[in-house]
Amino acid sequence: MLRKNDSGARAVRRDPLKKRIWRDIRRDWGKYLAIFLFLTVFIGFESGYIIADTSMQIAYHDGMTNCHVESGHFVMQEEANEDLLDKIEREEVAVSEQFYLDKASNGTDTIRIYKMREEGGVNEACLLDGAFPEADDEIAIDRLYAENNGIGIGDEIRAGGSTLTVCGLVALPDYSCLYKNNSDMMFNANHFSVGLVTEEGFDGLGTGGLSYCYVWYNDDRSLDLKERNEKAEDIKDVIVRDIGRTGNMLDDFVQNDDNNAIQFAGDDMSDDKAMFSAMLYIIVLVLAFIMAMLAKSTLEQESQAIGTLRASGYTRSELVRHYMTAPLIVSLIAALLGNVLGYTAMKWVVVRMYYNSYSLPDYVTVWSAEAFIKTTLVPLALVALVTWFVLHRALKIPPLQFLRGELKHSKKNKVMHLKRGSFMTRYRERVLFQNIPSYIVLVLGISFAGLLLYFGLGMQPLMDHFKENVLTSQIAEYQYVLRAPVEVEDEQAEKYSAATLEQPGYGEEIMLFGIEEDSDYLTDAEMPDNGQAKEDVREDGAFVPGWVTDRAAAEMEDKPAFKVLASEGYMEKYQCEVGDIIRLQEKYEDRTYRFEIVGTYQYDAALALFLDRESLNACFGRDADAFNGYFSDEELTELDEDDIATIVRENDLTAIADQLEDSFAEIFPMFTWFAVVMYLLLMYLLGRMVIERNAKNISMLKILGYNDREVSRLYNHATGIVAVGAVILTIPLVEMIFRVIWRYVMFELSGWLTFYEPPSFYLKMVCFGIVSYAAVYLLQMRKVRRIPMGEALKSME
Amino acid sequence: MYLELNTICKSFGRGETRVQVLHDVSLGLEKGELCVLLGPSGSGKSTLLNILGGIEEADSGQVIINGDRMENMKEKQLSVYRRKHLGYVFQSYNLIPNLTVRENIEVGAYLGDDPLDIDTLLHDLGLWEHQHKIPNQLSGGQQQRTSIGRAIVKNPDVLLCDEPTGALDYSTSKEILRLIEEVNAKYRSTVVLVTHNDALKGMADRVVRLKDGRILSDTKNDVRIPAAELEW
Repeated sequence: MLRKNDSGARAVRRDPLKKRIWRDIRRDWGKYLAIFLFLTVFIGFESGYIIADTSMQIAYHDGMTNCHVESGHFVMQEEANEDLLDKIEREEVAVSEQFYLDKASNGTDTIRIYKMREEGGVNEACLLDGAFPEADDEIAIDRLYAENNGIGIGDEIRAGGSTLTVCGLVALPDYSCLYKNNSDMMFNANHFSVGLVTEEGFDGLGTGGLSYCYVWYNDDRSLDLKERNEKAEDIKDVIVRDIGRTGNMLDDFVQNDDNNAIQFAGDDMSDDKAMFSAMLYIIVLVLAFIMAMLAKSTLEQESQAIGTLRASGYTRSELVRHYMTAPLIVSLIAALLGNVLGYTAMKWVVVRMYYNSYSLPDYVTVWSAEAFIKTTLVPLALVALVTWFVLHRALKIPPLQFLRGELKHSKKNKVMHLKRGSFMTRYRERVLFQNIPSYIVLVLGISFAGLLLYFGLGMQPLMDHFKENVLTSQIAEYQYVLRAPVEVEDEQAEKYSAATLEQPGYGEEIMLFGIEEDSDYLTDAEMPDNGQAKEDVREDGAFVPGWVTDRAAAEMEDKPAFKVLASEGYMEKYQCEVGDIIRLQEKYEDRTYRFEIVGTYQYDAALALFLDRESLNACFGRDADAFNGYFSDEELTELDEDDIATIVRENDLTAIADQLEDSFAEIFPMFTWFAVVMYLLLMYLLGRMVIERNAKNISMLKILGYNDREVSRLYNHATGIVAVGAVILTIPLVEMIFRVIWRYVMFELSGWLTFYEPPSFYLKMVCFGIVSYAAVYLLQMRKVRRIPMGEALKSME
Repeated sequence: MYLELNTICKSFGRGETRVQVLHDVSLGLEKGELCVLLGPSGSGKSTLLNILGGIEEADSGQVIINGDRMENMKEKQLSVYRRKHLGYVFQSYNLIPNLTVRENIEVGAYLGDDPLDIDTLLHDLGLWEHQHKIPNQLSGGQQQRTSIGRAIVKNPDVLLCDEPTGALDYSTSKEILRLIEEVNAKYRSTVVLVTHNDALKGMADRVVRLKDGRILSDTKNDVRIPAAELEW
């Protein structure tokens, strides 16, 4: 009868337990499918993100190299003399003119018009569609601006007083991000564009809005950042020396590495990548814990079989490996499929996002090892680590305890004495205590989903609030910045004197407004009295209340600082208080100024300080009645176009919010959906786990006569309390995390958007959680209904 | 002696709730011996079997199998010990629910260095027709036969059976006992069978009676009665 196997040990070389892995997955297909889909979509998104990001970064950097992007540029108030340009070129750089005209278009927009750039020259344009201009009335404009404004090839656009026909769409390497001024809070691809016209076309547009811009290009392309900065400093020194000699003025000086229009897109790509990677890993961790809980739940259901296997000689490691396999397979397939999605469908989401934000040249999709590592290997490692940790711990229990179905680590029977409340309440409490690990995962997951939801739902009200505040705190409908002081008769016009200083250590520009004492526009602000400071200036005509040397700085400490009102954004961003003395410095000189904050003023459009015009002029050593701009609620038609440097209007002030909205228009709703799916997934899986773990008890309750609704009240309500409770109670935590992220983001940008969420937002957050749970509750009810009464009798066999 | 238990003591609980389950139990079994451990509930027979199987630790005393002392073994060594020497059969069959009969037996075969031929075993166990069924498609007797198949397929030195017929009817029980008898005879496996059914004593070489954690008697049968002839 019984005979030994002829082939001996070779008969069963492969662990037969492996045969059940697919069956396990099939048995729990609903749960694994939910995890799989979520993981696939998220990995797909992350993979697509990295692939698109890598591909576009290559295109961006190649574009910079191939199109010979400038090493820097400077803008002079008057045309630079040949001598200056010669001296600059002696610094081993090539200098060339790239004069531009800022022309108003469509009432609210600005088109910055350059002459056609030479092929192979500095900042060579990349043609994306159509053709470069050949006729004098043709213009090639930025692709993104054209898309944002529905402008196509052949359309006509206004540029100052002229009408030009759009002949092509281009990307300029020095405007990969459409910053009008380097100091702007945000780029503005909705209302600002660059354009190229023929040389004759350029001359025909007049000199209104003309800027004498010169670009330099380092001969040595291998300079490191420090060397590039040193070279820029040397060039600046040459210019400053020339200014002292000729009386010309330097309006702007920007080294490539500091130029937002060139650098922001590249920096943003890298920054976002880190954020999305972190997000993916958190999601994978949450899912890994859910899968580990699922595997642990299987252990509980199969405890006796496991006890027998352990008693028969299966090692703990073998069983840990076995129960880890299903989650790993699901994760691996999700990762592989996610990568396929990443290279195909998902890539386009990200590409579209970038093309919606930046003016980039065409790209070629490249293989990304980083994407493979970050979206396949790292998630798999995380899943392996978490499931190994949970299962290794769970399987530490001796075989005998498995055989007896006693799966607690502690041998003590800790029975919690619950005296208060009805039987139902106490029963629910026991369900809660019994499932603490699952509920911890649920709370952590809900917190993270809450953070996603916060981004999804919270950004729009925040932007709306900002825009609303900007508009209510707008000083005037029109804020003219003049090239030279020009008097106007218009009664609406009110002079102001403005200056720009830099926040030390941050390089952020801070606006200083010198306002008329009896201003019609800042009626709700009382300008501080700077009598003493002005007196000091008058007493010593040579004294300028800024200092250059440390010695002078020490002397300055005894002098009264000019008193200012600070915009609330400034106070928040740099965490100042009324009474603080702040120091700001000149951008292109080492001169530093002291100011005392004596109050705040609500002005959300920029980080600004306010004082009376005379004081500001005194502070900067200007004539007492000097001014360089007008506030007006109506257009000042008396001003000649050539006199105006720029006009700040409503859309310039809300540019940051408009641009953030545009850039993330597709991402924020996606965050909301991710959050809702995550809510559903967590509540469904962990709630279901609680029911399955208690299937025998539920069955027994049914035998005793409890109906489905009563059983559900015991088990589903426990999960509901935790889920809905977590949704509500984690809001402060989520908000705290969001505020930290928000602050970080705001420091990356110029300006400040005050954090604000309306009460309706919190209500929405809670509603999303409750509605998600309500949907899950119906599914769980179905599950409870399906548990047969015979389940309780199975163990009796 | 192939299998030795020397002055085994075991208690559960602490302080006032402490219960001494085994008191200085010593027992020696020869290779190939079929030993029936008899005793009422709570007599300590299952605990003794579990200590023998290395799934429960004695408070004191020694377990020696083929010269290897078990009390100094670490968890991994114990797993190897069980893998190498032991086959387990329990009252509840503890089969893996989503593996077929054949696959459940393969689980045992995987653990052995020199397993039996599974096809032959399936025939001998009367499970050939049912080999592709999963446990919940089988009767209790078929499930227990599968669990015996899983235990013996790796050809263990010692087969430990904890109330293997406890959940079965009379005729199925006899079938199972006959199977255990066959394994013992064919492979000279040492079999320790825990039961409270006094009628099974006839099929043993050795009958050890336990009561309140102490050996009440330890006798040898001169003649074994075939399992098929046992009546109760």
